[in-house]
Amino acid sequence: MVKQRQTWITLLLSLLVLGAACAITDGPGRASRHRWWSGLGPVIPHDTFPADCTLCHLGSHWQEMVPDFKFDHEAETGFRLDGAHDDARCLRCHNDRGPVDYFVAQGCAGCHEDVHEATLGENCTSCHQQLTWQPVGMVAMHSRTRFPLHGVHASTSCQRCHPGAVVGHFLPVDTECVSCHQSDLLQTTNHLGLGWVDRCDRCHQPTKWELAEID
Amino acid sequence: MNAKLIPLIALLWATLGAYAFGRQQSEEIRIDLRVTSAGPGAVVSVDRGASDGLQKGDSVLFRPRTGGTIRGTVRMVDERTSVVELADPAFVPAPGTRGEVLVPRARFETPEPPETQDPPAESPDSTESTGEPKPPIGPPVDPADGPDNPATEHEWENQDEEWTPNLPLLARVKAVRPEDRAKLYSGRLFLITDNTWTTEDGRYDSLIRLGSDLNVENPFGFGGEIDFDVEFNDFEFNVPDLDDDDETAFRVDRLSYAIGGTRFQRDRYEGGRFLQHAMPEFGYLDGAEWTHRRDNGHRFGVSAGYMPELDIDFATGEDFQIAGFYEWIAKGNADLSLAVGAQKTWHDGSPDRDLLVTRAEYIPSDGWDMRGTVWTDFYDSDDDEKDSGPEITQALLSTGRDFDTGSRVQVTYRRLRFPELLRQEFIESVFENLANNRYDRLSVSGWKPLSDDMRFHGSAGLWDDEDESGGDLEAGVDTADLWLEDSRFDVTLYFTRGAFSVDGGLRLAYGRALDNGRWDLFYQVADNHQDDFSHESDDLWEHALRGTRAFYLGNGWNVSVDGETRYWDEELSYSVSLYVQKNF
Repeated sequence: MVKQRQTWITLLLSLLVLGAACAITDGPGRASRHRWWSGLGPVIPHDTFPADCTLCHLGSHWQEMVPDFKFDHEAETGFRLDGAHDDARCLRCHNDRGPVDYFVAQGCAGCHEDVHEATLGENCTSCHQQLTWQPVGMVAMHSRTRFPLHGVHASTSCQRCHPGAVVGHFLPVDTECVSCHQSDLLQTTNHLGLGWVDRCDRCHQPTKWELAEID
Repeated sequence: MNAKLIPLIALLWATLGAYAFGRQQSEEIRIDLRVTSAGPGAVVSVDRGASDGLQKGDSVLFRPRTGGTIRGTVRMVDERTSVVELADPAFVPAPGTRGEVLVPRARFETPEPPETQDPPAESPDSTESTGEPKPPIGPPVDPADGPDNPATEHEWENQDEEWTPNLPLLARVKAVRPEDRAKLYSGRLFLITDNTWTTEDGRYDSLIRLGSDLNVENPFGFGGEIDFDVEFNDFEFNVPDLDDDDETAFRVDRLSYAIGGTRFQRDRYEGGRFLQHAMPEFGYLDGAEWTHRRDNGHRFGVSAGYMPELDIDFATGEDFQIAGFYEWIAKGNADLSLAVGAQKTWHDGSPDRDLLVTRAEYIPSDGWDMRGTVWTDFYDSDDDEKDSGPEITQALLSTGRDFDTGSRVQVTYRRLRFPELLRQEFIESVFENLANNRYDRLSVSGWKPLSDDMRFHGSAGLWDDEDESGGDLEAGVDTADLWLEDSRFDVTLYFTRGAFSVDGGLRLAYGRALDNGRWDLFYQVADNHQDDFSHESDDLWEHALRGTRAFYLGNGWNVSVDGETRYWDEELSYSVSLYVQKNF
């Protein structure tokens, strides 16, 4: 009980801190994207831009873009911005690290840290959508492994079998039933005595765990 | 004149004319320009002027995005702008419309400098204070190397200039450094809930994730960055006739300060809790990392610190590591890079893991990409389950090819073995099978456009482990704008030979993009045949139906609601998921 109370107090304090952080930030989302903060230099190459600066910049407020500023990134650069990228601040990619081409050539990992520690490959969009970064289609993805998800397995949270899922860690997991169901095995009254400690799938369906079919 | 000579003379003139035209072409250079405004009377202003070589009477060719070309003639020339009269009075180009003008190269010729002139003395500060060499001043840039010349399209040719206090306000000065920039906050807040109920005696699975990622650029005036990611998790799992399982945790995923690693600073330092920057294969760290970029682009670095355990708690303090790496880059544009890193860990003071990671990446510009990472563990006599010597624990190799037709094919090989570790990294029972467990999978996937709106996609894989082998096959077609504009419909058939079952099924997906988000529907029906099941009911038919509505609400708000139901073996499950995200 004490532990739970501490957790909730920690959560509330965190929310207060985050709320304050949110409040002091100036202008979320779309507005920020169009603001050219005072002091920012031209890390975005302007060589191919029109020489008339007022096409994009406000003459009276040089650091801001014109209200109807539009930049067709695909038409102008040949690189389409999908999902959240379309709404991102220019400086998220074009910044002091160096020429953006260098990083784009490396795919997603050129800009995004690989929280999966490089174990799941470089093609992030095979699991993630680009707007909210939420993974989609994981049950279908599992059918490309040796352990397709059936019955309740398909309706179970990922971290039940992948304890590190919340921090992006999915490997390695064994496919033997007891890898995840060891505590279930220990709660049975007769299995251990009869030596039934593996090959659960011979009697149990992956649908109703407590019911076994015995000839 | 002999009539027979007339064709010969005509041919001679044509040859001379072609030669003269060609010579003229070679002596002209193209200046790219844009329309800045369109005035009344079929005249427009363009963003090039006398300083760009334009003169009154020059012919201009406009290329509007709608297609075609429109001619015009320069009527007035200012230093940086010109006024062009259009040949077609009906044409009103939009600001930004591209155009070009050919001007004689002679207009750009300048007298040779006197031979006695001394070369400019190198500035004592010609290298950055951080040691970055100042790029050499290159030859004059040919204006013909404009946007249409891919070789130079993105090259940043402006050189940084030194700044002194007596420079006029509008003089070109040095580029702004990270430490000169304004402090900037960005990040996101998110809430994820996922609740699943099944008809099996009150089985219930609930997940709540609430978190925030905060990034502060230049927080202390030194040009660095702070990253602060926190997350609260609450999991509840009720299973009939078994103990319930609840977990609640507040976790700091990241709290670090990083500085350097920019074009101005070769050294990069990061301290705190973070994912190792140069070699993410080595994992998260509560410690510090230093990397250095050499003149030729090669990098090397070292890190030291504790490794948090990879679970909901992210507990730290048991596993200490030191690591080092070297990355070799073949060319400046990193077509080929090879990296080798070594990591040594201790668990509660006892020697644990000796890991070598090798990584290669080849990305030529002709559509190919090849990547590979290999994790090799080294064991000795203290390891009970493994033989002494090296063993490849993981390997992930892939090569892909993008074709001009829009097709792509990719081949991937994966190997996985469980390393023998003192560190708690996977489920305990795995230790029983440590010596023999092995999983290899080779797969090929790709897609091919069938028409402007239709695409075939498919994948095939073969796997093999210490006991069995199997594979999977998928083939489908997706088509755009079927029934509704901005929609996409996909039908896929799949087959899987798994470790315990043989599955086959059909998936249908239909979704549509809207101005304020999108909606998606998904249906799957499958027959899952259980191997070796000792009863007749070994064929399990399953149905799954899912609907998703995503809202993009502006001001950084994204909301997604997802409902799913699954039916199998007279059981039903219902899931409701909510995702709310606020970017700031």
